[in-house]
Amino acid sequence: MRVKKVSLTNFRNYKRSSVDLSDGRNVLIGENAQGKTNFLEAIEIISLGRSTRAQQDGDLIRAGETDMRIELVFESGGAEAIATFALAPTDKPRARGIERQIKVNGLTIGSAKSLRGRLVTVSFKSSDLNLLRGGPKFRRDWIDDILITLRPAYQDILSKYLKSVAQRNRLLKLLFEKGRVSVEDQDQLRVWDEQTARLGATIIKHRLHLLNDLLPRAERHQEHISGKREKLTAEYIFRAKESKDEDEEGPEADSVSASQIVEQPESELAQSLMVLMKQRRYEEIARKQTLCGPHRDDIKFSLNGADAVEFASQGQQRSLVLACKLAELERVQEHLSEPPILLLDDVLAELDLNRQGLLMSLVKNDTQTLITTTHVTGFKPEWVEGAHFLEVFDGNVEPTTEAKSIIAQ
Amino acid sequence: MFFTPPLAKLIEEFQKFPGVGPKSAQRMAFYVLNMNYDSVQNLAFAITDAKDKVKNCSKCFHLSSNDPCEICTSDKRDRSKICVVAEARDVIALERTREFKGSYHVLTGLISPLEGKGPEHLSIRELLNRVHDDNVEEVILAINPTIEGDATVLYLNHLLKPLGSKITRIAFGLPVGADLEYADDSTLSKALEGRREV
Ligand SMILES: [Zn+2]
Repeated sequence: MRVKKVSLTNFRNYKRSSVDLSDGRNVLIGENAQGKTNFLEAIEIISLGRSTRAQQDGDLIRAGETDMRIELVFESGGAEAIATFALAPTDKPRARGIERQIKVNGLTIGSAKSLRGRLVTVSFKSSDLNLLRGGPKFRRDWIDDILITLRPAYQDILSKYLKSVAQRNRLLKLLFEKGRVSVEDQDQLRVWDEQTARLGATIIKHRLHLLNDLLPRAERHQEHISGKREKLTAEYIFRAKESKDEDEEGPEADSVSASQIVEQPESELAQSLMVLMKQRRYEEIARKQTLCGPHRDDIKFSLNGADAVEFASQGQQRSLVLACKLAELERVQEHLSEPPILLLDDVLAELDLNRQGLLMSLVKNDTQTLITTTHVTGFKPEWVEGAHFLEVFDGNVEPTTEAKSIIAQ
Repeated sequence: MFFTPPLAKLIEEFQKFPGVGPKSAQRMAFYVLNMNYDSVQNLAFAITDAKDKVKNCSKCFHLSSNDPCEICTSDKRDRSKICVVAEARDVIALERTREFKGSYHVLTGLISPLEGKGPEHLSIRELLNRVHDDNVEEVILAINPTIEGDATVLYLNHLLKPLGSKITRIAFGLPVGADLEYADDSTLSKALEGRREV
């Protein structure tokens, strides 16, 4: 896959900018807050169908403007395509004033979700540390995003599941307000239990299956990075059995090693989720929310048997996250018939030469790579040799030869 | 912008229609003001007349100005088969195919707690009575495979099963002439689920 051209209009700090990218390595150099990360975000929006940074769509529009547009010309599966993601004002009810207009090759496509799978990116960012230190949602999103890349239909299962949980939560709230549960209510609850549990079991199975594939890879990378001193392990945490909020530490959480459940048939897993829901019926009504299911699950990482969040040093934590991201890169590369786009946002300079070398050894040869950085010192020379240099300054991206002279010195 | 009160009121009323925003509501209101007086009266009469005369059939809950409706009173209809749909507009869509010769039952919605719709708001009790009283052989559930549709089907299935009739659900898949490449993932996976031997 290749991104050939990126055109931005009123996107974040870009007023109007259009730039051609080279097939190999593209190095975007610029001071902080000039628009380097925004540029990669634009590519990621076309790839994921959403921004991983914006709280709401309006954040993507340049201050003082009312609409914005991202246009990418890219090559995928041997064909060239043009994808646009635009935001425009609307007075349609329920749109909150802003409407998305998403097109591929001039044809309007229904939802941003349908962008998935056309252009695949794997990104490394300094915010990846959230994978370890952030809330459980970061870890769930990580695993879910990889799953969607590997199997686009997973997205449909996931959004159906979340909708089912939302419906169920509303019913729990209604029952709480009513103060009693009639026979009809029991019947309806059973329906939402069954629906939610079935979809939930499918999600858990998918996640465990992927985790079982990623973990040995991540373990190998951690070993390599640490010189065989650190053993990475991870557990899938079922929050279904504990009564605490997901933000709280939950030592009594029911953690099950992925390999145990992965053997269990999906229907059995759905059954046990339904049993749990029944057991916790009154607690769920009292708290007006669904407490059992994959929307609350988590992944717990350990180094040499000790909780990595609590006991690992900052450096070890960075290595662990890198090992996981490398596992992701490997898995996605294996799945696709052509290499994904690699986005390295301000991370290369932070990696020592050993780690840079490991990353480089895993990246397939003909991978298009976009590297953002404030400076090119500390880089393994192979990253920048023959690279296409671009300068990012105040919402503008332009090819530059200056950087080459910096390196030559 | 300032609108004189009667005009503001008209715009406000139009804005209550589904999919109509403030700008469209303004356009509609100005259009009405430009119509001649007879046309405006016809429009106003058509609205109240439809509201007065069109009611849910007391048997199947389809919309009709007769009660029971034309389908329920027809002697060409097979009463041993009931096709259950969410809305009256689904009956009209199925009738266009001229394939189905049984009777219908309109649920008047789907179970959706988020929209305040519980089973008690749907015509489920009436359906169970019909299935029981009319010795219905087959109940065909023509309900969309959305999360609310699936929940409603599960709910109906639990209640219908003990009555002993055959329960089926219509298959969903690709529209005729649809291109595989342009079908979305959920349509494709539904189509795969509903595949048949050739
Ligand atoms: Zn009728």
